[in-house]
Amino acid sequence: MKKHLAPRKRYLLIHVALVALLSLFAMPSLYADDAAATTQSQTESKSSRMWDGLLDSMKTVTNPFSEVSVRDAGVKPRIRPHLHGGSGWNSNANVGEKDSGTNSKAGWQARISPGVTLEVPVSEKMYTMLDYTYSFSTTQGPDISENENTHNLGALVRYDYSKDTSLGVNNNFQISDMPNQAGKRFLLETVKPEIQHTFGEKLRSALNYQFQHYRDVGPTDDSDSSTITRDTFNDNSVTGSLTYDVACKLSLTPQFSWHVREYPKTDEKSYWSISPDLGAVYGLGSKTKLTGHFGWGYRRFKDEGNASELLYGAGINHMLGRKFTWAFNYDKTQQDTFDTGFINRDTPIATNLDNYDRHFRTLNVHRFGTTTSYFLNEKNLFSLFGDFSFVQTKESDNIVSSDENDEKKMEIGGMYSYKLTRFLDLRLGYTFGRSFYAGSTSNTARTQYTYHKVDAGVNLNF
Amino acid sequence: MKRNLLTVLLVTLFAFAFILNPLAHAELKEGMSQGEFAIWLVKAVGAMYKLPPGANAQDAVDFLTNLGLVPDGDWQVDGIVDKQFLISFLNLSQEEADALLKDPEGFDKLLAKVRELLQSRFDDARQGVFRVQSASGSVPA
Repeated sequence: MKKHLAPRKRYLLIHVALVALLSLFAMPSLYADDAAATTQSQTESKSSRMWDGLLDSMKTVTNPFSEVSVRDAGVKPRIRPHLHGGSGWNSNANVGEKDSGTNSKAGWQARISPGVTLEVPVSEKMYTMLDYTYSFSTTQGPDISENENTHNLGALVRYDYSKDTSLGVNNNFQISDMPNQAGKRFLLETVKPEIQHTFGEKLRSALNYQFQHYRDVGPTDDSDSSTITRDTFNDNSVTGSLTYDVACKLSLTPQFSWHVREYPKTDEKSYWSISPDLGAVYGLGSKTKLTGHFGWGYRRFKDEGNASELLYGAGINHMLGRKFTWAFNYDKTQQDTFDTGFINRDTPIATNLDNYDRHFRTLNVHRFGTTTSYFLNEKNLFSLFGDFSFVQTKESDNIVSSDENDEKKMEIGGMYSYKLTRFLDLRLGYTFGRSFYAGSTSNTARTQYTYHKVDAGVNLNF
Repeated sequence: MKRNLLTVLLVTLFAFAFILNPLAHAELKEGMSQGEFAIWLVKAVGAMYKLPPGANAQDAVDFLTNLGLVPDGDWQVDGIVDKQFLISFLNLSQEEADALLKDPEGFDKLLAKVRELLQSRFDDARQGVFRVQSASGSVPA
């Protein structure tokens, strides 16, 4: 016992000494203004002057919970509690289940997700942010009962090294329950440092590295071991890009990505890849932006074989007046079975469009998405959205059963949001989802489905 | 022990951030560049995490454009910010615009209005309302 206490005391002393040492650095700035007063009032005790100085300095510290003035916004520390809640009815709440069959299970879905964000701009050049968000979602119906918990921790540090150079790191850590597997959790850690530099007026560069670690609890209770894939992976990627403003309204961005993903428990899916790409942005007037890219993705699998695909996409973003925005995007991408892109979205739960089974080492996905928003005024927002996804697979990329799984899915819907106060808004939405064709029923992420969902929610954000 | 040390270091760092924060001040004034203004605006509504970690002014401009915040004549990263530039984001009556142009504190008042406008749009966007989500099926089974 004594052996444990001694080091603990030593560390406590180190902590106290560390805080005291750091506090010494703060003292000169706290008492700098009191220098003249010290010479005039010799009778004051040192301790009383220290307390006065400390109290004066405390007055300059902003209350981090208070609403800040426009001049303090973005430059003073702030704590922002936030709460997102919603509930709705889904006519087919089990669309994510592989063996759901043709029997749809209607149910009520609800989600509540409180969190807090700490924003600390340390200096004019450095900005830091830390966010924790917890989410609980539940689905309850006559034939279905599911609960999921998610913890999400995000952090950002950004530093302006000079007028032309900025660098930053963001980190995201999530622990979440596996859907349909109560008590089993996965974790995903993503860290992404980036540096950007501007050369003159027309050339910008960006270099980023990303590391991901996904720990998969795996389907341990599956009786047929031949269908089990364990998707724990480590992922490293480096991407570099140069953006050149060819003309006032046209910029070109050549980009190169190098990527390695290792699956220690399912080696057949491990690969490295390269992806050169050329992107362009063209401003068609001040209200319309056209984007496009064309490139090549090459994957070399550790086991054997490779995948080579042309990758391309196009998009348009248009504003009609100041109130109406419309965006349309199309992309052909090369994806992994488990697309981790959802983790950094506004909502840390994937959508139905992002689910595939795990049997494939690569998927080719064509995706069309469109969004329309009409800001009637600062209180009323109407929006419509639609997403269509066409998945193409090859038999040779199925590491379990050597058959294809070409899924075609869609979601369309509308939403109305009303801002009750500066901090509180309410919303009402409807969504229709459908799977057009789910391929062979022996090897699908889901059977075909159709669902209608009506939901209402509240968003509280300080 | 390492965890304790880490905790103390974090607490100390945040305490210092609050104490030293008076050093943090943005040059919010007429004549600042539109690029600086775009980054300030994104910080002011707490949306920095939506940009790439090493984001530059162009990233901030792209984010604002996607939310429909585009001034008359489009963004010019090196262009200057003045009252007329801020008015171009807002739907103001001619009388109100004229009064703010003459008001010595008009620049701050316009800054506040533009920030409010972005906050209202960003709050709506951060709900993820443009994409439906399901309680089940987050990860392939």
